[in-house]
Amino acid sequence: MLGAAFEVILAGARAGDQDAFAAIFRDIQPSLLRYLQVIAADAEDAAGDTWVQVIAGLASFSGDEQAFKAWLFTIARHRAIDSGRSRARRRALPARLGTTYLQQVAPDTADVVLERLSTHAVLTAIASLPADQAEIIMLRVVAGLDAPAVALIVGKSPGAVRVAAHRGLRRLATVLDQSGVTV
Amino acid sequence: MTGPDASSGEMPRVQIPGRAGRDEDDLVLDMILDRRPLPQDAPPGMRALADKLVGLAAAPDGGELPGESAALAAFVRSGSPASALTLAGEPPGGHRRHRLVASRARLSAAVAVVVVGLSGTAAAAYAGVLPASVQNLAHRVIDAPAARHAAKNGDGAGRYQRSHPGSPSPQPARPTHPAHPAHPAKPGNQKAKGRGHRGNHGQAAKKPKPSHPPKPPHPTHPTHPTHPASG
Repeated sequence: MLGAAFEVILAGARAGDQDAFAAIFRDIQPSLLRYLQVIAADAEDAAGDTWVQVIAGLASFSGDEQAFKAWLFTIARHRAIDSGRSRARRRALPARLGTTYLQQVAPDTADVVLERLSTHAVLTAIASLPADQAEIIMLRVVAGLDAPAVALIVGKSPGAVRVAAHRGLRRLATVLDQSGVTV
Repeated sequence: MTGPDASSGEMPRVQIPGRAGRDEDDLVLDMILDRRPLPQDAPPGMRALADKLVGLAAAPDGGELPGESAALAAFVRSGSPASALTLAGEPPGGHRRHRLVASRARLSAAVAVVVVGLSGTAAAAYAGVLPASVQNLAHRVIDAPAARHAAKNGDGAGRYQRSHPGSPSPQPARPTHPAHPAHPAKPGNQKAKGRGHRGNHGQAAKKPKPSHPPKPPHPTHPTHPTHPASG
């Protein structure tokens, strides 16, 4: 979260300040990638398409940080859908994720490896949930969007979003407990 | 009590020992969803779940993120939104010239319409065919015949001839400068006046020719004592 600085940073990015844009990118890209890793087959490809569209629409965007995130994740969701990501492809998440993360890890940072493996395990557990529950948990918890914004993105009522999120979290707690995933 | 097939909503809520109730669970789940810290008495399973999800939301430490260089390159390559804003505020030479030419063309067209309109109105005023109120206004402003004379004679030329028998009519107020180059009515006014003094301006006034508008009764009088500009 950029918080109170977001407005200034966004103005800078709209004015062409590369550092300001980088600050926005670095703040959102981790959660964007994790969200897309759950709903898309090629998260980095979908994320790249998302940022291209965000850059194109940056001048016409107006709103606060929540609105910006909601706008960006809506684009990401559409990019994932447009590129034909399917539920079946998400089943291939564990192997691909493991390769990606391990390739990015420095060889002498065991703690980082363990942390990323844990992150990988949690993402795998979330990906095993029903699609709507997994997506809603990612948008609510990882992207940090509120229930009304998520409801708009996924096309459900805020109440339905809350119910799906609760069901998903309960199931996720059970899955992680049974798999012995530790943080 | 509705019997053995009662719905779950009709059943009394039973608190399972060692486990928080459903409502309490919901509150904790809402706190997890909102990324709020859990209370100390939250169920251990929920606390572990919250910790794992917080780890997901955390950004990785240092290093370049996947796709960062590509995104920055796209940002630079796009010219950045600032370029679009700059284009909107300060168009580059080509756009600026194009807009300048277009605006000048629109201005010229508007001026032409105004000139033609004023010329036609002036000619109609000297013909005495305008409505009475407008005719009287024209009488005061550009020395056209008064409306009452037009009504008596039926045409502007006769009216003007009677009201100005052989001599220029006194002009107490002429708001427009006679020699003003931008005033299109003045040249026509001068020609009509000239023909009127020759006694044949009636026909000319009946059929005003735009290319040869009538002379004004008062040609340019730069030193006119009653020039209205001061009054």
